[in-house]
Amino acid sequence: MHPPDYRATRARTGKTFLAYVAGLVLILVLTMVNTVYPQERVLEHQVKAAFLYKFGNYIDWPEGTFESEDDPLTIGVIGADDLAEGLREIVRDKTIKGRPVVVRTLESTDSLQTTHILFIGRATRSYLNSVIASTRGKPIVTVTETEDPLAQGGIINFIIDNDKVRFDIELAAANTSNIKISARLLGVARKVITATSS
Amino acid sequence: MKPIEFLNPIRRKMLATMMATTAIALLVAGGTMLILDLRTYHNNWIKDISAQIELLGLSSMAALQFDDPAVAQENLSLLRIRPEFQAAAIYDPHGKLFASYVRDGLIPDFPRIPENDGIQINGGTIDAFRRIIQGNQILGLVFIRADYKLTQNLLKGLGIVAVVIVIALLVAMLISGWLQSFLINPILAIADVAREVVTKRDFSLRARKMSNDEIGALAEAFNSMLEEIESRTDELETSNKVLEKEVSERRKAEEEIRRLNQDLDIRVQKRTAELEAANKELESFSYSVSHDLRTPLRAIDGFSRVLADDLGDNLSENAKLYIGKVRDSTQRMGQLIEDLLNLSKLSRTDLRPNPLDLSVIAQEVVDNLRQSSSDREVDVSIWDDMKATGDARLIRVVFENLLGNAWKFTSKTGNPRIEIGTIQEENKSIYFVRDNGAGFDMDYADKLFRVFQRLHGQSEFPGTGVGLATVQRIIHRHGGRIWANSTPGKGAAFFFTLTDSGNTRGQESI
Repeated sequence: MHPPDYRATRARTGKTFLAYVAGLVLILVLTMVNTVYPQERVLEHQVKAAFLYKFGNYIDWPEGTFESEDDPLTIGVIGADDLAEGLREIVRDKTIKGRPVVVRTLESTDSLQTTHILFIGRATRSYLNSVIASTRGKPIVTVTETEDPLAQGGIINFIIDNDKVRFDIELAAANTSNIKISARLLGVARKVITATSS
Repeated sequence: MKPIEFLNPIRRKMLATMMATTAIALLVAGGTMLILDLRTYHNNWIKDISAQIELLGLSSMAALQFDDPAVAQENLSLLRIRPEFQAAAIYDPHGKLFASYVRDGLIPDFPRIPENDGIQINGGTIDAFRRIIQGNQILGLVFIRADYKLTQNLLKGLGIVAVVIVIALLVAMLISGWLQSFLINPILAIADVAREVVTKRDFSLRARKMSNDEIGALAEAFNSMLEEIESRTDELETSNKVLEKEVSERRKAEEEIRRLNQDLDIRVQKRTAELEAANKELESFSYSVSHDLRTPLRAIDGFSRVLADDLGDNLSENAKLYIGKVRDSTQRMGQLIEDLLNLSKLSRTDLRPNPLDLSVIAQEVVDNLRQSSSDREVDVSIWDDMKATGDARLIRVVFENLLGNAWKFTSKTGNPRIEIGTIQEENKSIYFVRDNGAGFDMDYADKLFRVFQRLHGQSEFPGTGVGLATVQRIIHRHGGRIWANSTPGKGAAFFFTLTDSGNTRGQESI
């Protein structure tokens, strides 16, 4: 079983691919910049958006989460509107495991029912815990970007390490939510926390 | 018979066959195994590399997606436990090197990325490329460079095959000695016997049967052949001995015969000499007797004539008659003595053969006869031109006697006839004198040619009985034969030959 020919793939994907490549080049260039300035925060959010999209490939949701094979995968974003914008650009016309990707900007935890990945931005710092609490027991991969690991109840947490966007994975939380994270994703995580450190 | 020299070629041939078979079998097997081995190596190595590159791609997928070269690097570093991988690298979708690994001691040298996935073999190395794809996105590309030890494996395999062949040949050589004792020794044993049979010519030798296979059958066949030859040789020798014995016996018999013949020859010569001596003695005796008898006879004749002349008329008629009878007797006796002397002379005079014309001689004799008795009328016919070889004086005597006889015995026949002629029989001339006179009884034919034998009385036909004996003597001395046949009262015929035709010719040539 061989992957499709490179050129054939390019011919089929056409513009989409070129756009993707261009975006990726931009991201890679930006990630090499040493210091993070306000506009670099935007770039940081771009990288995090790309990561958010890519996580979907390495995560298995419990059975029954999706109603059908082509049920869309929904990424919810709270408190990071610019990230949501970037993410929308990235996931346009893309699929994860054959599912279309939908990005939803959430104001609160009101409609978490159909959300599969939930990004909780820094802006929600004040009510982060309540948001996380509301997702507890649900098959939602919560992604945070806080520097304080002890305060976390989310599954994935972005951090900046060595001027690069990295992430830690709280495996215990994932297990609680009955979510399976691929070992390959665990392999590239900065840290994998297997038990709650309380 | 040249000696059979074996330089043990069967041993060598068998060894060579074994070695060749072993070598060929091992070469074929080794070659096949080597090719299969190399193919397996190649296929397995390609599979291994493909699996490895696939694994690397999968394990590096997340690292590429989440931009974590360190993780990718770690993944690549795992290749350390597989030293046959020289280098590996992961490129990002733009062709930029994302992570790399180089085996210790090697200088990093990563290729410009080719566009296609695939495997390339460049001499001792093999390069493999594979894109990392997720869904329809290309996340990056994995490159692996590994050792490709086909040539080394080939050389190693060849070395092993060579060593195996050498060892196998050595073992085969050692085993062949052992095998030969099974296979060749029986043959060599037969060959030895054959050589011995030929050199010693001893057919009683036998080959030992050492096995129950074709060689054993050969030994048996050889033995039965030897048996056959032996029995034939024996038979031949016995028959030779018998023949030899026969030959020697025959030789002895021949020797005996020769000895007897010699004895006989000697005896014959002795007898002949004795006979000749006796003959001569007899002849000289008869000559001297005849000669000595003449003198008193002449005296008797002379004195009786003187008595008749002197007394003349004084004698009585009776006395005259007696004296006449005395004188007749003396004359007859004188004639007899004359004839005997002639006969004995024949034995002593030498034969002088010459070509003769018998017709002429016969004519002369007849002329003489006509003169001496002119009162008789005899019809004489003589064949012309009867040629022969002989002594003229003696042949004349023959004709005088034969014609005289014919003349005499036709004296009482009317129309007397005498014929002298010749018959040719088997290249031989037979001469004859035939008359129509008194003839003789054939019962007495064997007495005809004996001395003093007369078939007619003196008063009937006068004669001494010596003539035909003389004729026979002459004919015999000429190497001829004489015989006669007759019917009494109707005439007689005398036949004679003078010599064998060969003798005739031989005498003619003298």
